[in-house]
Amino acid sequence: MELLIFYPLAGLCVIFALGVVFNKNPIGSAMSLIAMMLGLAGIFVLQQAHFIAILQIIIYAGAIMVLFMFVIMLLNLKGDDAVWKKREKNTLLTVLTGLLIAGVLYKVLEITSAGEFDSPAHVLETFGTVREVGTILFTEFVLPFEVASILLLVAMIGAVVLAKSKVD
Amino acid sequence: MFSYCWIILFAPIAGFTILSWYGNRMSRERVGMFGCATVGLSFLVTLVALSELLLDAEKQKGAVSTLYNWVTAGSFSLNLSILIDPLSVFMLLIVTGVGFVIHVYSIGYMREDPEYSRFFAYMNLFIFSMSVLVMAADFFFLIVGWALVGLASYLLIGFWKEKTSAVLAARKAFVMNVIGDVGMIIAAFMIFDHLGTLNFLDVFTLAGEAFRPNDDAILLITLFLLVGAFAKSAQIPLHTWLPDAMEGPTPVSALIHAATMVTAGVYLVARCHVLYELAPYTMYLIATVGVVTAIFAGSMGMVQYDIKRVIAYSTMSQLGYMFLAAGVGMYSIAMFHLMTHAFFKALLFLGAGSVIHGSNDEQDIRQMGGLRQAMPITHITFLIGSLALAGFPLTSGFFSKEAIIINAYHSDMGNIVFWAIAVLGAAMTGFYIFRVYFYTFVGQPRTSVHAHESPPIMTAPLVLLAFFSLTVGFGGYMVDDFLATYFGMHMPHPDDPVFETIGVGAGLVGIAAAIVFYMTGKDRLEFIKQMLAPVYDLLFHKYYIDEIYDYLIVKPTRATGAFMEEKVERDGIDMAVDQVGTQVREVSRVISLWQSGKVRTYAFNMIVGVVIILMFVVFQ
Amino acid sequence: MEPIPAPSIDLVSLAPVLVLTVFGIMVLVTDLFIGKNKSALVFISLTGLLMAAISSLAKYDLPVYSFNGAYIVDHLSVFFTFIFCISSALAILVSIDFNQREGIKVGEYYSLILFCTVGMVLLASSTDMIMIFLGIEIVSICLYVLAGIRRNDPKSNEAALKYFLLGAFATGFLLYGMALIYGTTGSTKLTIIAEMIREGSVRSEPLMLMGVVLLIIGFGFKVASVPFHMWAPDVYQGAPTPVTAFMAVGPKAATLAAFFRVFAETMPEISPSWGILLYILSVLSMFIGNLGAIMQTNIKRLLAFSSVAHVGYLLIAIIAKNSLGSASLMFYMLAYAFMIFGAFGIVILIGRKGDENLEIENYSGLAYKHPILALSMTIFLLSLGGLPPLAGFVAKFYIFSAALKEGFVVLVILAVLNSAISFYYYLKVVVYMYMKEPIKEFNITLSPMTLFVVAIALFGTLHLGIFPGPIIALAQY
Repeated sequence: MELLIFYPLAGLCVIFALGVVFNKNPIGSAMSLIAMMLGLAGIFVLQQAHFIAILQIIIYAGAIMVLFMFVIMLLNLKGDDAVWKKREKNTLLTVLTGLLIAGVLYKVLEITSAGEFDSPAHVLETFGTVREVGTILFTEFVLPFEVASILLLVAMIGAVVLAKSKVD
Repeated sequence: MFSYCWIILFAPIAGFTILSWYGNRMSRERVGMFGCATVGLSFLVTLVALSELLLDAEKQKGAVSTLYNWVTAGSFSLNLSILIDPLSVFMLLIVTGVGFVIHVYSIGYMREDPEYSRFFAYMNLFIFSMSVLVMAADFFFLIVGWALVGLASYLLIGFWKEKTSAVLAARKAFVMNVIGDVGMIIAAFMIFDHLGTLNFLDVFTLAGEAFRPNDDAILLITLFLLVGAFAKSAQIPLHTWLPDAMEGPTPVSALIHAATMVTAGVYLVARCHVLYELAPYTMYLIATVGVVTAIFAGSMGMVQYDIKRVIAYSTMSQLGYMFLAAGVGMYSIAMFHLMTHAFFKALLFLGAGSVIHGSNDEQDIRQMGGLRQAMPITHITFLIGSLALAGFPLTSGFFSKEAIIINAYHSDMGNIVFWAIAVLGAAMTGFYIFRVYFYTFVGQPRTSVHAHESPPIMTAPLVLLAFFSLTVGFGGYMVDDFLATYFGMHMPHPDDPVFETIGVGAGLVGIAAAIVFYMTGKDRLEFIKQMLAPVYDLLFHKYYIDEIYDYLIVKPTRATGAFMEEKVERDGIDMAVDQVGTQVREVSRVISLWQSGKVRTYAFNMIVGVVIILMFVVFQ
Repeated sequence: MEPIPAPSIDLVSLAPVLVLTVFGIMVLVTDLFIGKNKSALVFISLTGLLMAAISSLAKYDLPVYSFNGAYIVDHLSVFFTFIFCISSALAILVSIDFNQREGIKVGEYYSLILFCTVGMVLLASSTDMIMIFLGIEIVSICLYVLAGIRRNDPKSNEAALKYFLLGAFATGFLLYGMALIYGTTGSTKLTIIAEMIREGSVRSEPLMLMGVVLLIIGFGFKVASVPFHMWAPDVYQGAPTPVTAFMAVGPKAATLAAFFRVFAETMPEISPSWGILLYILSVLSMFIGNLGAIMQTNIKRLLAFSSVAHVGYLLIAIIAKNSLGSASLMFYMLAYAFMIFGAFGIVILIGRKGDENLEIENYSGLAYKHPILALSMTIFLLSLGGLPPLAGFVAKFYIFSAALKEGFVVLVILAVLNSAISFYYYLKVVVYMYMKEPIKEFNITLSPMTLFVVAIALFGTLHLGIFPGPIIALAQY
């Protein structure tokens, strides 16, 4: 039953992810990304992680993607940008590397699928709820949670330093 | 015990430090005095140590004096310590003694040089490095000294840095020496891996139990040590730097390329004789390489025209004899020859320096001639040096070289081939050195330059060295007795009048050949006509014989020598060594090009790296 | 509703981090209120670093785990905290005159260095993969910004952007690896992972291995080991020189500490699988770093390639995975800090506004004009090459003996061979300084603070080389 929902969702995710890469139009790329995020959120729901799913939608599909859109529209990026087109390509190398990666990934799949995983049955009923996530964040992972704030502070300072309008 | 011996190290390094910082502000006289005084002090202290060793046989077992416990890593520790035993004192006597004489000589030789103090600073650094090398109590400091000596010789060979050939020669010597250093380091690691210590005394005690004779491990260790020894002592195939190194000032050649540094390889083999005795195959190799180098270098010495290059090839050749002696297990004879060689070869180099100095920096023997009248003291001392080198009876070279030649056959590891080649080499020696002698001192000047005798500060060292070149040969048994405690045996005295006579005769034949060719050769004809008119007829007939000789002996020998130099030297070994450098730079260039500056390329490379690593893991 | 259980909090363990954060914010705030003269900021920053170093000693009876096993105060972390504080202090001291010369905004600069130090301390003290990730990110973001802090210099911008793009890329690998390890062990805590590996109760051996490999790739990028080193020469060259020195020491030390914790301490049981990989990376780093350096004409690029080679040596300590390995890692990084800051200090001194004199040719004849500077530079370079009796030699000696103890003879011989190669290019600079005629007038302002750093570095290089005993005793403890 779960798999019935999982595979279409996963398939959609992959298709949209490819869409991000192959879309010539930046806006199209961004839209594909949103769609992929939504698909991922769906998979999270399947994993009983409702809270994460909601966060995924709010943060990625909502906040971050809106920012992307703003930037794209403000900079007026177009897919037919001359510089972009002019970049050198080495198709042969790219294809070869791609094939290699595909080969390795296939091998990895083969090996890992042979491994035995115990079923995730003993997941608690409350797993993935807001309360549970919050509890864990404030008890077991309180330190990373707090340290993340330093990371954000640093990122903020950095953004200000690099983006100040006046070049000194 | 022997803690005062640290002065031997401290005096020259203090000299180096002070001269390099304050040298420019000191007067020339004081720089020279100071530079000599430090080495002289070391020599005096060495004499004290020698007397202590001689007076008390108990002390001859050797003692380690530790100054400071430097690093301790796990079970392994490194101490700043020196080893004082007969072998190290013996080497120190040569290093500081001959070194001191050469320092004094340099006062005169380098007088005109604008960078007088830098020269003495480097010379002091060299004496320090060499003392570290011979006083080291473990392989680690041996290697440190080994590398320092390489550095000091690099600085000294390239002393005239505006001379491109000198800089190139210095670099070549340095690269060769580094090759040797790496070999030594690998050997040291292997020793440490097998025995867990680098201390000489411990290593030599443990080695007997840890290795069976001709074990792979001991063979590899001795071979890697040998890479270092051959590189330092200019044995085939790591010899090409030595002739080129003659670009440096002549006292440097005397100090480094005759008396001290090049003998480090022989010292190493003697010091590690316990290890080498466990590896008879390696001993055999040493003897073979030694004897091959002896005639190889001898044959090349016969066709050179640069006075210093002839002596350089001669050094290589004599080092070959020392290795031959060490290779057949006659360490004390090797050390004895090392000592006599230090005296007469330093004498020859300094004499050559005096000649060059006196004839306005001319080094080509074809441009010299008749210096006998102009430079009487140089002439006599050079003649003594030549006789000693050629093994003329009762000179020092006679005793040491005879001992080697005779033992090349009579010792347990010797054979008739070694002996025959050694005899051939002895003949060559007599020939090439007297060829130089006749070209330089006999006959009439070939150029208009008026040669002049060098000042007393330069001739006094010559006289002193000449005295020792004549006399030290009689001290052979004393040297043997002194070193016997370390080598654990006395040198045998095989009684074989026939072989001995042939050995002596070979040198004389070489001298005679030189007389025949160069006293009476074609280019001398006019001179002979004038000077020796009464015997002109006789000589004229000899000239006819000369032609035959010329075709039968001289031409083939010259051709062989030229071939050796052209093909084997330039195209073979030199090329191989140069190629190492070129290829390294080429790889470096490729790496720099790979660094294109494009982020896309970098990311792509990362991906490739990732894929390769993953493949490695997945398909393992 | 049942109450949420109180988290286990141990602020004393965390003291250095807290102190540094507070002082970092203080620098930012003070910057707003003081006028043109910014020397107060230097004072605040240095005080912060000093206090952080002292506060790292607050715990005894080491090791102390806190925050549910996410944070540890042990010998390694304390020693490394000291290295970080020293290197950051040196970086600040060496920047004072440089920043004035090049007109760099100092408020953000100093606070970023302090925050970066926070990240380093976290990296060295974390025993939780999430914490390690956060630490790496804090350090990285600070470095991205610091590399590009000279905004009117296109080279600086280029360096920052390159570093950022490739760094983000590498972070992806790191995170993926951590996720895989979490997936196979069910925990992000290193102690629990170690236990599971020891008991053999990892769920999927191959997946675990994949995770480990991806971790190596991520870490490998951060420490600039081959084949993930491509960013290093460009970034080292483009970044302002004090920043280059800074990132060559502290962040690298921190990442290596975490590297050591994750690999040598957590998973020694499966070392055959990662050991061989690190072995290859180490050998490649040494060779490509040293060979690449030979043809460089820019001193910063030369030092960048040499730092790649040094990572190769340092990886040996991780491969050795014994206690001597961790001690040698500590000693090496301390010695390395002095050598690098000394060398870069002189690079800064040689330059002047608008003309940084970064080509090796510009060092021609330095010995005639400034013999002491030339001698110091020689000492630093030779120490980097590993010449006895300098610090670099003792450091290498320790690493090699750690590896020898585990029987890696071939690796050590390769490393020694590489040290020999490295002298080629270190001596090249020395030859330029001593044996060539100057190509132009030296116009050197001997700024006191930079000279002070050089003096400290010189003292450290000589002291650690000649009297290494006490520091080694501390490192081995």
